[in-house]
Amino acid sequence: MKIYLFKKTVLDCKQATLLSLKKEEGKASISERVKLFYHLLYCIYCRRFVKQSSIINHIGKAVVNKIFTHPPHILSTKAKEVIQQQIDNSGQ
Amino acid sequence: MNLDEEILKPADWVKTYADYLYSLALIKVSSKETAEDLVQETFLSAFKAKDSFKNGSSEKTWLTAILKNKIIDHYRKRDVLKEVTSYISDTEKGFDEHFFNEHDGHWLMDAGPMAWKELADAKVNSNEFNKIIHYCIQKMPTKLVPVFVAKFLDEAEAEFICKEFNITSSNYWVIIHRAKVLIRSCLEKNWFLS
Repeated sequence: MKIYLFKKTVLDCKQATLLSLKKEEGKASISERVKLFYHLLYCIYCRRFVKQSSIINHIGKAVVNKIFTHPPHILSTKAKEVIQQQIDNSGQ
Repeated sequence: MNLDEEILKPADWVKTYADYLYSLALIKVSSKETAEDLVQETFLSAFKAKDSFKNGSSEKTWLTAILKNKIIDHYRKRDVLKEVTSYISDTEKGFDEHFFNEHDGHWLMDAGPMAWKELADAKVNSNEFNKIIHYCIQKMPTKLVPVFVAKFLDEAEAEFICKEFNITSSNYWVIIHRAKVLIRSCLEKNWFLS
């Protein structure tokens, strides 16, 4: 019973990282946030995970911005011609 | 007066936006053929719906929104998230084996996050970094990709994603968790430590 209670209140890293993502989106309950807080106090790996998760979110935004301003790929001329033709045809 | 106000110029669409829409589609669906089809469908739908374009919004943003919907439709038509609950339980052991100790749930010795070197903004914008992101998304299990892309690249809300793909919120968190653990590990191996 004691072990069961212990397991219920103390998070392992798998649970802690999942909860950290809920917290990141503002969806963790108070008790989840408290459990996470205590886990992070003694777990450097999960602290790194939390920090890196937010870096990854930042990277996602940067990648989309880069595509918006400087698209890294070029649609083939042939594909462009086909599409242009279809637009022209549907306009008639 | 709104300086951003635009009118539509369909004759210039392909010239102006094709590479952008294609690049955006390509990072989300991986296959060149599919990305081409999606761009084509986007332009044709936009052309048919051009009367519904509201003056005052930007042409580029409008086309982007149409493409996003096309991509969601594409995943839905292929039923990518079909039977996701059994997929999640069937693959849980395999996922855990790579990252978490099966007895105590803590990080496996060589899977725990390492300290990363600093990432300069200039690097994020490099083509080399773009290729690595591409590679890491491609390596991800197909069932995780639609949700991950919607969250990570489109910054969609959890509620919206659950509704669009008809998944429960607990499945949503498991998918987001697995995807984040995988992409983190992939970026670490291929960029932050190399």
